[in-house]
Amino acid sequence: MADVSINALVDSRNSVNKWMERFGVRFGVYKKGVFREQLFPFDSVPRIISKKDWDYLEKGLRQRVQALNMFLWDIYHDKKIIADGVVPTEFVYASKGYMPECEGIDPTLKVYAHIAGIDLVEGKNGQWYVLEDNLRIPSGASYPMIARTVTRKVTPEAFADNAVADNRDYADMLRQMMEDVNEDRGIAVILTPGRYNSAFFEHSYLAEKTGATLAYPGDLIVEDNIVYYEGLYHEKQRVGSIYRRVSDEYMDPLTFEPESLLGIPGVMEAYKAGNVALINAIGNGVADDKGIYYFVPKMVKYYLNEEPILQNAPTYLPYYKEDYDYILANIEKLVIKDVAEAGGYGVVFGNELTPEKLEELKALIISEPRRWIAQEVIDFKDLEVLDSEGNGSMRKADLRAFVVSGKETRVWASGLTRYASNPNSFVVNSSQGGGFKDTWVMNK
Amino acid sequence: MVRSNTISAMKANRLFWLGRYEERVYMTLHLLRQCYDKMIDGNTADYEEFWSRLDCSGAYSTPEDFRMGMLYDEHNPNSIMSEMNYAKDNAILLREDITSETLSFIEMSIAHMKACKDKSETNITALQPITDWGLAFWGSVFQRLHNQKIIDLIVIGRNIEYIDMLIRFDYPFERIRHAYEEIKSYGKDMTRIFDTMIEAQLDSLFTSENYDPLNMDYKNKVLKYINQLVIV
Repeated sequence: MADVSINALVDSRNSVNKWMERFGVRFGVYKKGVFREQLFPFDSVPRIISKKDWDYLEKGLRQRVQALNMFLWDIYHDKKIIADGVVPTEFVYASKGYMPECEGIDPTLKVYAHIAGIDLVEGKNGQWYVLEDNLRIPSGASYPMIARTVTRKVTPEAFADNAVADNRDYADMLRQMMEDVNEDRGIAVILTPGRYNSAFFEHSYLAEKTGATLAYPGDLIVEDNIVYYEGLYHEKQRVGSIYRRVSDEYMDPLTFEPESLLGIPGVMEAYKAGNVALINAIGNGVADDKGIYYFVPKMVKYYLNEEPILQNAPTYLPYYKEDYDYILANIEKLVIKDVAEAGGYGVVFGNELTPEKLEELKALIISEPRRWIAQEVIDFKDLEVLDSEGNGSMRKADLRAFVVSGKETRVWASGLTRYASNPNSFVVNSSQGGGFKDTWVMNK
Repeated sequence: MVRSNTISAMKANRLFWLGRYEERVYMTLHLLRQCYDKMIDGNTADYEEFWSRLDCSGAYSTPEDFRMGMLYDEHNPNSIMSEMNYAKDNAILLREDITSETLSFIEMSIAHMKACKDKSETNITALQPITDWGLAFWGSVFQRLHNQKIIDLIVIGRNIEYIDMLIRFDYPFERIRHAYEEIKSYGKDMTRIFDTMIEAQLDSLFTSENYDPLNMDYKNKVLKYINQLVIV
């Protein structure tokens, strides 16, 4: 990148953050039971991904998400992958994300994960690794969307001087996918749990940019297995697709959590009847379970008969005797993850624990081997982050890539690069205090 | 993808209250400027009167407390800060309808208010950007929004609030008549938006012959009716 561009970007940091504040770019956090909205700190020096790397990632991501969608179809229909011994039965049925209520449901176009958020890191050797698949409600695309819109205005020279892929097509990708699965049944809505959801900014911003209607709990009703958006005077407009940002268990109090006030009573029956598309499908949690992650490369081989392009981080499952022994013998150098947790919670680095805590962790693994996975700590590449004075320091950073599947599977030439809040941390989640960068995918 | 024209009950309510709070910020600032001007002469009755016209009394014991409180006190629902927050509470839930651009004028106002509060700024000229952005907000509503129902609901809210404030501060009837006619004009395509019995009462009260804001019974009656006119 040209020096002029770098200087312009460095100088623009405060200006860009001011524009973010102007547009209310925030996320919500609960601390000690109190909800607070905070700005998501933006670092103006982008992560740069070369065309060669992106071509590789794009191919690999498309392949991975296609396999995951095929896995989901299989699990809720024929279960061949279990019968053929590729994925052990208990990993499917013991998963909290498996929803027996979804057995036999045929989502439009056989797509389950319409929007997949795949978390990757780049090792110091330049090798990319998938850390996690997010197939339920992956969030974060709105931040690089608005950041790019702002930075192009604030530092046009940085984009004029460099061949950066235009990423302002994410709303179009979403809109196209919503149309693909809607099949002209009715309007498209984005269902939000409301303002006190941590990603509410994203819900409202995506609704604005896609032209979908933002629906709140209570706005949608079901009559005769048809979903309607209800107007002020009880007039009804049919809904054809729901991009829902409400968790599976709260989506329909008649099928799942009966106390839920966030969902739509009767929506599962409408969904089963093929009268509405749910984006993402219910029950996807069975495929992005941290335990199932281990098997994704095997899924690629099994369903697509191809070698997996993307690599998982080296992962061990205590379920297998060999791995179990390895984990217990090497726990102090591994990262241990609780498969039931998300958002950076339930992640423990063995090298940060006292001998007593290590023994406690071992006891937990011995008593509940299915609950844990262990991974080698990947020494991933640090990225430079600037403080408000323009001074740089190095931070761990990951990349959440977004893959959108309707009639076709498309990878967004961008993503959310998140960095850790302090130099020694590997945890990059926004809920843990990190910030984000724009992700430049180069065209040449 | 076709954008829905249907407006849910919750959304209608928020649009209405967004209009009300935006107008309240504008009018409160406008009236505070007049009040602060009178206070230069040192008569405490000037701010006490202002306070009582908003149905509040006794919260601030000194003119300085009053100045700070009316601007930034988040426990005082009539302060500029509280009114801005209420406007934002509604606007933030309406981004896809009012656009990020329209919302941005409220976000900037809140950020500016916080910065002024941190500096304990009591010179009301420092809040001129709030007035300017308020006007920009309305410009954006009229210029950038294309769903007439959405504009109707926001403007009806604005004018209800405007009339409420005009009556409280004994403004002449001509100002009220114009705003009231505008409410009816914006509501003409929403047949069930008005309570027809209340509307009939207001029609008879809002005539040049009957208008009498110095009569407390009259004032209380029209304030009650104007606040019950719209059903959202």
